[in-house]
Amino acid sequence: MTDVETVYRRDHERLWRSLVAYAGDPEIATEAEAEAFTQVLARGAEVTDPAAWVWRAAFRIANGLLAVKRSGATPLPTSGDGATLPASEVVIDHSLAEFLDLLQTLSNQQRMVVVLRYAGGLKPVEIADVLDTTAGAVRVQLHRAHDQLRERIDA
Amino acid sequence: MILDDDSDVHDPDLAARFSALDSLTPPDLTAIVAASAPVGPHPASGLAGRFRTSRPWLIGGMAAVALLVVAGVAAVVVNQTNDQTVAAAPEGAASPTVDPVESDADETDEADRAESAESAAAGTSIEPDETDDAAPGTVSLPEQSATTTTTEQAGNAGADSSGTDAEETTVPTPSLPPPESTTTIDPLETTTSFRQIFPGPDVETVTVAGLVTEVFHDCVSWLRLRDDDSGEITPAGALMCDGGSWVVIDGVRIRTSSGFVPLDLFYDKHPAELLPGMSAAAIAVDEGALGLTLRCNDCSIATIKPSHSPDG
Repeated sequence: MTDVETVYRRDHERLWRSLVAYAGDPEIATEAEAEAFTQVLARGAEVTDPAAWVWRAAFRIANGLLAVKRSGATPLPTSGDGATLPASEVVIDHSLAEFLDLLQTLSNQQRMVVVLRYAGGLKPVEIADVLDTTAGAVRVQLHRAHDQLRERIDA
Repeated sequence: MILDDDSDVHDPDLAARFSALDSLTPPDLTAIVAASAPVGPHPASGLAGRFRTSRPWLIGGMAAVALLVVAGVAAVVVNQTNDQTVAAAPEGAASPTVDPVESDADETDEADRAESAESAAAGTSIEPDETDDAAPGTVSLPEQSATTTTTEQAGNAGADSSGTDAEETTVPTPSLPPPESTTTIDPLETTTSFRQIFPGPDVETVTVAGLVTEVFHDCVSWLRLRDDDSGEITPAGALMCDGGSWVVIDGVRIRTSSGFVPLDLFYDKHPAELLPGMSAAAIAVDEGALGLTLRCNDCSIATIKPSHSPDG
C-alpha cells in the first residue's frame, strides 16, 4: 500500500468533513479533495509528506474554489465531463447548515484552524504543519476563533 | 511558555457542534470516474488511475493559454521584436497540467496578506483577558491614582492605523504635547524593536496617566496589583500565546506590543521594567475595537514616579 493510499484511507473522511466545514459546500469539498489527491498522485516521490501535502493542497484548492464561487465570475466545476459528484447527494440538516453558516463568518485563517482542530482532529502542532506556520500562531488563531464563535453563538 | 497539553485550545461545546459533521457520509472519491483522462497518476501508487478530476474549467484555462500562445507567436513572427514572449510561450503550452495548488496558493497568499493587514488593524493579537486562562476579576484601582486622561487632537484625521498606514515607511515626526502631568517623567521608556512606522502627524492620540495596575508581557508573565490594596503584586497566571503585551493604567488597558503579526506590522513598546504599582503615563492611539495601543510613531510609555516596588 502506498503512502498516498494510506493517507486516503486514514484521512479521507476527516479531510472531506473538514473541507465541508471550511467551505460550507460539499461540492467544493469533494472537488478540492479529489483534486488534491489527483495532484499528489501525479507528483509521486516529489512529495515527501503526502498527508500534510494533501491537507494543505485541499484547503488551498478549496480556497480558490470558494473565491471563484464568491466572485460569481465562473461557475463552479461541474460534472461536465461525465463524472458524478457524489457530494451533490449530501443532505445537510438545518442546524448543521446554521453552524456552517456561522463558521463562514470567521476569517479564512480562523476558520481553517478551527476546522482543522475540531473537524480534522488535528493538534495545534499538526495544524501548524499543514498551514506552514507555528503552533503558537495556531493557538492564537484558535483562541480568537473560540471567542468569536462563542460570542456569535450566545448572541 | 508552552503548555504541555492542548486543553487550552479545546472547547467542548464547539467540539459537540462539529460532531454533527459525522452525520455526513463522504463520497468515495475513488469512484469518481471522469470521461477525460486522469491527470498524471503516479504509476507507483495503488490509487493510480482511480482518481479522476472533474475540471472543465481547467480545460478551458488551458485552451485560453494555448490561444494566447498562438497569438503571442503570431505577434512575434510579424513584429520580430518580442523574443521574450516567444521564449515563454512554448513552456506554457508544453505544460501538461495547470497546477491549481500553486495558482491557488498565490490567491491564498494574497488573501492571507490582506487578512493579516486586516487583523493587524482589527485586533491581531489575542485579548489576553478573553482567553481561557484569564482571570475574570481584573483589578482596577482608579481611585488611587492621580489620573489624567486627555485626548490630543494633532491633526484632522482619526486614529486610523490600518494596514495602509502600516505600509508607509517614512512618516514625519509630529510635535506632540507631553503627557499632562506635573510630575517628572522618568525616562523608563524602552522601545525595543519598533520596526514599523505607524500613524504619524494626523493621528489622534490619547494620554493616559495614573497607577499601573496590571502588566502583561509576552504572554508569559502577568502581574497585577491585588485588589485588597495591600500593595502586593501577585502573579495572576501565565498564558501561552503570542497575543502581545499590555498594561493597565488607571483602569485603561493599553496594548504595548502587537503580538503575533507579520513582521512588518510588528511593534513593541513595552517597557520590561514597568511593574504594577508604578505610576506611568502613556501616549496612545485609539484603534477602535482594538482599544488603545502604542502603535504610532509618537506613542510612548514612561513612568511618572515609582510608587511601589515588588522588593519594597
